[in-house]
Amino acid sequence: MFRLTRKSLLSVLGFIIPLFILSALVPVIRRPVLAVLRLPLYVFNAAGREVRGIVFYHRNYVDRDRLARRIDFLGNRLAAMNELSVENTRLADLLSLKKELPYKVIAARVIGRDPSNWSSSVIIDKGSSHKVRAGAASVSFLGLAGRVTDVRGDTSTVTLINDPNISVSARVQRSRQEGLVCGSLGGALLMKLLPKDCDIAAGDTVVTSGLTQIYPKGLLIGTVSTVARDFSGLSMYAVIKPSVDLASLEEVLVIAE
Amino acid sequence: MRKIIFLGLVLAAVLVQSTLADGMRILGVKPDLVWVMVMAAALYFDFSDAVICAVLAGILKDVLGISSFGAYTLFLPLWAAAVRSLSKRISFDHAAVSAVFLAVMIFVNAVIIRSIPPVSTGRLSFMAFMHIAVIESVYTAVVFACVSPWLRRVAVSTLW
Repeated sequence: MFRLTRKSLLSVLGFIIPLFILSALVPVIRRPVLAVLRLPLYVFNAAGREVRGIVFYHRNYVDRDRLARRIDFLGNRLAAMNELSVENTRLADLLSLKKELPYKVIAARVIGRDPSNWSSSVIIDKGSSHKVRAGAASVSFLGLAGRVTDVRGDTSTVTLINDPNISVSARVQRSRQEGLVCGSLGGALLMKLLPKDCDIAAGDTVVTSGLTQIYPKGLLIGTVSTVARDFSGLSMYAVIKPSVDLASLEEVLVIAE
Repeated sequence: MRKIIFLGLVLAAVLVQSTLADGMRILGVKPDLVWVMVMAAALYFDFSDAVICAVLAGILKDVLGISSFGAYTLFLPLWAAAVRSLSKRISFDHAAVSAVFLAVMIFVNAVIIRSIPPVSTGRLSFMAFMHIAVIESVYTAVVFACVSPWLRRVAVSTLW
């Protein structure tokens, strides 16, 4: 059996203390280590994309057909929307409404993901040298993706909206009901803090409310898939299907201004 | 030389874990190849080499993650040392024994790490935690059982 002697205690402490110091230094060494790993991550990521393309060839082929039909449908809708947009601009000009400036964005490629299952983040190939700043929202072409939480020279870390440590102030587009969208590490998000008599239903679109400075107003988060009463019975929660496929995110746009 | 090759494999495992492993998800959970390499190093190398492999694996895993505290840098070498010490009392010769031990180790580690405030996922529900912890530990153990004969050959080969 193991006997606790002065010598064994000292050797255990001599083993643990340097490890503890090294653990505390991880944020400091992250920048140089990631600078070295940037190229290998690129190579592995590119190889992975090619492998996925071959393995999922049939699925991609079917998806391509489906998306081509969808593009035709959306093209028609876009034409109709453009008409409405022109009309809206004209009426807004008449009412002298303040026009919202478009966002300035920085396009970045995802080169790595969090290796553990316990958080959801991606490493992108743009950093402070490309004017990416910590706290900036990042979006994809389909909607809100996450927030920049760590910026280094040529790389940054974006924590995705399905990470449990991220919360987004959100609003149901139809009823203007507000709530807080939180991550749960899975493929769905939870919209919490909804009153029990709230007007929300499956299929509703959820967007950012713009109540905080971090996320601009009106960014698409997802659609409501189910609504249920929480454990206490005092409030409701909604399960949101994110508009962005967070598991296969390959490019993001970081909102610079 | 074989130790350097094994360190290269540890680095490759971390890079694969951070890029390609997303395509290996089952029920939304990917296997942890870093644990596989640490377990193999602990079983097939002596104490100091196993700890060096585990420290490298822990640092790389923490660097690629978002945590502000290097939990894996601290715990992976401790687990490697524990396996090394236990291997004097328990026989890990059978792949099933080492795979079961690895599953238990990953589950216990998840419980410990989730209890540390800087890395804890306090907002994660108990069911979500159990879902990830159980599937991750079982899935990683299965992967280890499949690749351990090959890793053993690399570790003990006299070719290099």
